[in-house]
Amino acid sequence: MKGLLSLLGDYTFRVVSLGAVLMGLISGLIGSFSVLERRSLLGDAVSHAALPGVVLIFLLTGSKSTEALMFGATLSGLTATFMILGIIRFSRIKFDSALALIMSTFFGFGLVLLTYAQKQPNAAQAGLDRFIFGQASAMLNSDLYIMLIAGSVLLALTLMFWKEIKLFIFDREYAHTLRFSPRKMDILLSAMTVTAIIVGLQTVGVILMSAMLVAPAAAARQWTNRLSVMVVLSSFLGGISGLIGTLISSLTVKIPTGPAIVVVASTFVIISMLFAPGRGIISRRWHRKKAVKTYQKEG
Amino acid sequence: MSAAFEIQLIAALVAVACALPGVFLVLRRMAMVSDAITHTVLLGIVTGFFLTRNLESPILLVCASLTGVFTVWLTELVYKSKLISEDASICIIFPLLFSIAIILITRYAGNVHLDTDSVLLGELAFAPFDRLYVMGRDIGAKGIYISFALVAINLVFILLFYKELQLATFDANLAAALGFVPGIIHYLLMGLVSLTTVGAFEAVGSILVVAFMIGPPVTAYLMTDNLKKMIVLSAVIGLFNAISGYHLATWKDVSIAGSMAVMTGFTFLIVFLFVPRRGLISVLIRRYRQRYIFAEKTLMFHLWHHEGTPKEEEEALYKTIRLHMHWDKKFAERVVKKLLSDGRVILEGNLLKLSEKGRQESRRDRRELLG
Amino acid sequence: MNCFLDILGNYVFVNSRGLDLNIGGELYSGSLDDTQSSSDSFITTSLNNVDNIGEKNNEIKRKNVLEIEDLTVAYAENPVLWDVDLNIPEGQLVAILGPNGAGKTTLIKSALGLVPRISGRIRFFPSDREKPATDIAYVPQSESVEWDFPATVLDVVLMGRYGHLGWIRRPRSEDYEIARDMLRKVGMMDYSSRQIRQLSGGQQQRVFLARALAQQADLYLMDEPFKGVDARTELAIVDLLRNIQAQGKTVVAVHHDLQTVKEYFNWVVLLNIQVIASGPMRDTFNEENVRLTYRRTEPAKRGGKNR
Repeated sequence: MKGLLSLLGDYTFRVVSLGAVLMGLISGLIGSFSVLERRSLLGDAVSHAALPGVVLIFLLTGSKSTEALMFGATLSGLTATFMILGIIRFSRIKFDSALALIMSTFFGFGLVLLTYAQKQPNAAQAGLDRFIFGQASAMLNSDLYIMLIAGSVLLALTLMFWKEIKLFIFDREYAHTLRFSPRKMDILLSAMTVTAIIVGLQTVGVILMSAMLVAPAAAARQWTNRLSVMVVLSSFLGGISGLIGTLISSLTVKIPTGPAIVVVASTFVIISMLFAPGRGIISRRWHRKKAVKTYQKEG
Repeated sequence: MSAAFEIQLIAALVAVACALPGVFLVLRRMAMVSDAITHTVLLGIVTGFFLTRNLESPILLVCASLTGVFTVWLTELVYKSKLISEDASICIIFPLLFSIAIILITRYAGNVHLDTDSVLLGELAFAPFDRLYVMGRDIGAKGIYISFALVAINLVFILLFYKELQLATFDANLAAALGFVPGIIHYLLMGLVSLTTVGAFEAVGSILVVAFMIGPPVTAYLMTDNLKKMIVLSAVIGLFNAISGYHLATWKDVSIAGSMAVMTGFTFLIVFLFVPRRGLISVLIRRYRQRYIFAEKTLMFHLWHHEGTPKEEEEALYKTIRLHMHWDKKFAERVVKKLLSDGRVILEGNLLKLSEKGRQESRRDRRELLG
Repeated sequence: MNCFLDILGNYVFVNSRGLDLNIGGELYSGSLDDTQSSSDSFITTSLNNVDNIGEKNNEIKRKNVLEIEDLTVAYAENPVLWDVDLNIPEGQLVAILGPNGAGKTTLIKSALGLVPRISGRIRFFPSDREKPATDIAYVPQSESVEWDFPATVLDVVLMGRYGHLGWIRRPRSEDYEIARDMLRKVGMMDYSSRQIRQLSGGQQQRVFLARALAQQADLYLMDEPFKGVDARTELAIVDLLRNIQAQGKTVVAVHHDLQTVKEYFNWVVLLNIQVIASGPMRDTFNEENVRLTYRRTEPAKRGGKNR
């Protein structure tokens, strides 16, 4: 308890935990749509594809400010997304293959650029790779503001286009007949997803980001049949995972923040799959048993 | 053997070893499984290390391969509950296992050299330093023997089970009906993918393993419909990517693994754009041509349809034909001009009429279409 | 040359509805002379000036709700619909009938602008629009939906109001009222808070009908509304369709069953890539026409029907 109190007084912990909570809230919110759209894997691809953008912006401008790097990351994430969609549109290659190909190519290109940057004499490139592995502890107050702004914009967009998003994911074709252009909706949703991923990257890193997008949403889906409840719950679970994860990693020795958050979020998935009323595995078993019993009784 | 030659040899062998099972991953729409496995084998290596306390032990390889298979099994377990879709299951399971591995490493193996960076990014440049000695004699870099063994194992597996793999890939139900158990082939393949991953990523890093496994088969997939040809082509393309990537890297003095991945993307792009029949350019040209050919046929058919009917005066009128077809000006012009110039349609007064040649063509089309 | 054509162009007067046709008399002779010398430039300008025609015929009484002219659609290398001319009259229950691969679904989808077309013109009335607006309601084949989506039955029906709302605006309480009304109409009010996957096939179909009804459209395009539906629901749906018709509205439905078509519908379109026949059920649905429609069915060769 004492440890906890002193922790709350600690500036770094406050920044890091707030950052993790914000990251969880944002990725939980947007992740709901990725999961329902069955585009979870795109999150994995986009986060890997962000690397060349990050390094390229640094090489071009020499700036290491979070805003600049995020801008680069967003650009290359979006480019990758549209390349993937383009490949599956114009050839017989399937979504998963296109994803794996673009993702590894972009990441490889990022590595090439990174090694190139490392040869620059001023050695100013140090810290670029926090985008790959995530380094929650390096987070600054200013990063929090960026997350806050990005989060508010995403929330505003979600509220504004709530009806359209719901309709579009549920029944694309019908949405089209009601004159909601599928192209516009695709662009909107892709842009929102890419933004959410980029914002989360520096907390958990490239590899774990997809889990943050997917796990809270997949857990939340088990508890409700209402989109609004699911989105709120998913965002909440994401935020809580962020908080508990940072707490665990601060209170114990040598547990990195990113993996701790992911393990917490995954635990929520397991709990939800088992115990959610109605859908959950235990509840389904129980209902089946009851059905069998009544059937036997009635003979 | 020079270090440069050894590096290229290892890279080439790894590329071929990865491309072989990769073909089946691509065809079975399991490309992202390779991404998952490349990450989770880390957990296997960590577990193996805790069991043996020795980073050199072959037990590590076994553990890592088993973890790969375990990953696939766990993912299937999750999505077969129907509570979570397949893609989401992959995105939950592999980061979870990877996170556990990272936590175990940082917490309990911090003093051992188990560098996560090099697992992920790989450092081919150091491969020649790791020598294999037999009876005190240096017989070459260890990587050469490992990757050669991988090629051999993959090759033997594919040759032995070619028929079963083919069947399980294209028609799992038929395979089951014929008495082959697709599940066994499936898990054997996953085990092989895991083994290849483990063997390969020590040399090239996990990201490049994905590039090597998926890139060449996807590229080959655009070039052929024949499974055997696709396997051979994949191996050749992988080989090319590896060698050219190496030279790109030494030329610009950048990451070798990264350059090879870039070359993988580059060869794909070239093939995607330029390959005959399925390449983007030939697809676009074909679509463009088809549009005109269909339009010509459609117009002729339209004229034939209304030939001699009371509505012909209206339907075949030269200057309003584009309204009837709902075409834009330029398009309509080109179509009509083409038909007039090769005499399939003639102009009688203000009406477009089919020539005898055009009428025959329309009749033939209709017969083909409607019998 | 050019000024001559400019003058001419304005006289061209074509009625897209095919009821009458006026063409300036001088036009004939004028263009005849000229086309001999340079046919291509003639096309340029004359095609240029016909844009504003067809709008001066408001005095003609409109009876059709949907007019399709010269529609051709192809997937890859296979034409699915070829030079289809079709008028759908107001206030009818129209069945689209034809073998597999005849282009029935494609016809509906291209009318809605969901698939690209090579040629042809599609117009909806009374709005006289070329693109479907809120006055056309679509009931898709049920496979196109994301079944595990967390949406309740009421949510789904409410989606029928979205077209009226346009971008960004939220459903108002009237919209909820209408959605509930429609649920009552199809007898699904008791299920309004169920998730859509928890319903039986027939119940799902009713919900999608209610969604279409909530659009309060003039024209309903339905892709196999009786597919996967039990006999009781089938009759309920037929009742509903008659109800729609009684309000002077029009239903166009893809249908499969040659036994029931006569009983359920009063207008029929026999389709097999081309329109074989279309008209009132009594005159059109005869053995000869049905035989012509079904005489060749090799859908596999044409492929790609339900894209």
